[in-house]
Amino acid sequence: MLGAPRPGRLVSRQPPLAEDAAGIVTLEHIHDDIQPGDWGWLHTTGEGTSLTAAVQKTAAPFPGEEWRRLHRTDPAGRSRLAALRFRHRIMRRVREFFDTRGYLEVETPLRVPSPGVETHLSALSADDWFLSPSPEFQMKRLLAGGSGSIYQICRAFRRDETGARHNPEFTMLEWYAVGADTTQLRTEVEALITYVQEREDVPSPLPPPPYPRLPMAAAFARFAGVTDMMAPAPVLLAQANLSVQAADLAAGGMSWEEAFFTVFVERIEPRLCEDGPVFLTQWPAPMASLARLIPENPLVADRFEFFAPAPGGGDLEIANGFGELLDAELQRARSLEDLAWRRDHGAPEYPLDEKFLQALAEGMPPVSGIALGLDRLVMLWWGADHIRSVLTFAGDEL
Amino acid sequence: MASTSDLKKNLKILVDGDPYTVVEAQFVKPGKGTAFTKCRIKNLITGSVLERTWRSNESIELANTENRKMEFLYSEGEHFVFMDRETYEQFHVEAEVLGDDSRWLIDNLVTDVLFFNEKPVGVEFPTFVEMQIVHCEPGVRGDTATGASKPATLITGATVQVPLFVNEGEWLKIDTRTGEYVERVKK
Repeated sequence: MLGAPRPGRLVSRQPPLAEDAAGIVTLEHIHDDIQPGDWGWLHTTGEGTSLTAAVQKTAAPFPGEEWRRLHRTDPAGRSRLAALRFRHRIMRRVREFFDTRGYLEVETPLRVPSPGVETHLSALSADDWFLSPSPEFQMKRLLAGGSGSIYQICRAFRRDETGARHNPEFTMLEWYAVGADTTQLRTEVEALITYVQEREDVPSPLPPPPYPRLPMAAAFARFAGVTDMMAPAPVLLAQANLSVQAADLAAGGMSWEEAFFTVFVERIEPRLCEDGPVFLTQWPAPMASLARLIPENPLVADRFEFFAPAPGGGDLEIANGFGELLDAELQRARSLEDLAWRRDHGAPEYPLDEKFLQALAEGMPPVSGIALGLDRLVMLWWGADHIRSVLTFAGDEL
Repeated sequence: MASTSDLKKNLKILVDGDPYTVVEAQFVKPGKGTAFTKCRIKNLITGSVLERTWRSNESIELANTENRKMEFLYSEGEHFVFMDRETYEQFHVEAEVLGDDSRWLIDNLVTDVLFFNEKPVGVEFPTFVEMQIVHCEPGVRGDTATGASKPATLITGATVQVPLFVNEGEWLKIDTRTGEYVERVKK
């Protein structure tokens, strides 16, 4: 690269190597005073590249923690910096996809008065408010205001969720397709994957769509041998051939919901993606959350999740979509039920978002919406087995 | 008693009366539902590995194990001989207790030896060890790939990936948790 001098850092004197923003550069000449770790100016001429006198002497030993974190390579020889560059390319394509489809990009506040009252949600507080675990309420207020189809890429915060696939602060892609049903929304998820995979060099691509749509009841039958997913807890566990631990019996058994998810985690998830990505549809009505019930079959909710095979085995939950519930009174009733559950189980009782409920009462257009974990999608495409590989900083690196 | 949020790699727990160490713990919370911690746990005595899942409201029983500072003296057949730094008592530790980690065993290395019922069942290495390279290719000039690396053989026979500028005879700092090169050290 000929042209103006650019900042570069001496990596080693023997052989003389420096690094600039584009990578390692072999040097023809270095100044005697420069030590590894020092920053100087790189000059490239027809005869090669030289590093002139240090402009920034390094006080701490080189390589330091910051340099190592970005440059240390995984067994495949790839660094964190390479992952961040990949992530940037993906983010650009995702925005491009929604922009070309006429979506309006919005940014809603991250600090909110109500984090929602879902039963298993634990929110991070921020002064007397909360860090938003989902931009759903504010985006729906925009929909009620007549915004049309919108998307957002934002941070979402969930307390106590840490692991190889969770970070308490993560990046969410949430979008609402006005006038679309969940069938069309699933097709749009597939279109997004195709759009990115056709335009970017993805190290670990998903197989090309379409992907199967599997109703939850069928998944319970196929992978767990459960004939009725709504059956009481002991029946679910017995049919799935799962024993109840002694401690559970002492505590008075398991709730239906706990048994449902125990079967899900032990029997369904390990095999769900053995043939590739899948949309798991028609969740039980009690897990409707903010989704409507399916008009033809009110025992199940118009809710789906998208799962993909995880690098290193098992599956990865990528996205959760709803045919949105438009009925304000029903939404309030569900929220009050959730609040009662929280009270009974000693969970913090968060306030209801009255402005969101008022927006539903004022009227939202028919709409389907979906939240997609972008860190996880990038992690999957990069072929990493830990979410930190695609984050600038994981929580324990701050 | 501990809670499922304490389930992290290397936690020593008691399951059905046996001591286990957590090999891998994965937090899962599918479908906005109950949270679980899926674990792979390794029996500290038999070495067998099994999978176990706990719901977030279950409690975990901790194993009553003891760590003692011991110095590595020498290897003898299928055993490694360690000495307690306080009592000078010597213990034979079976090779299978160390597994792959024996590649970081250099003379006089001080480690934490894990005892369960007075029997050494595990050896925890210091996070970093310093070892000399006995063989690697000389630093290659002209290779411009970012983060390129090459294999280097260490004095115990262990192999690690090192940056191109590293040379034979140099001393390295190694992270024993990952088996990765950290930096060169002057000796």
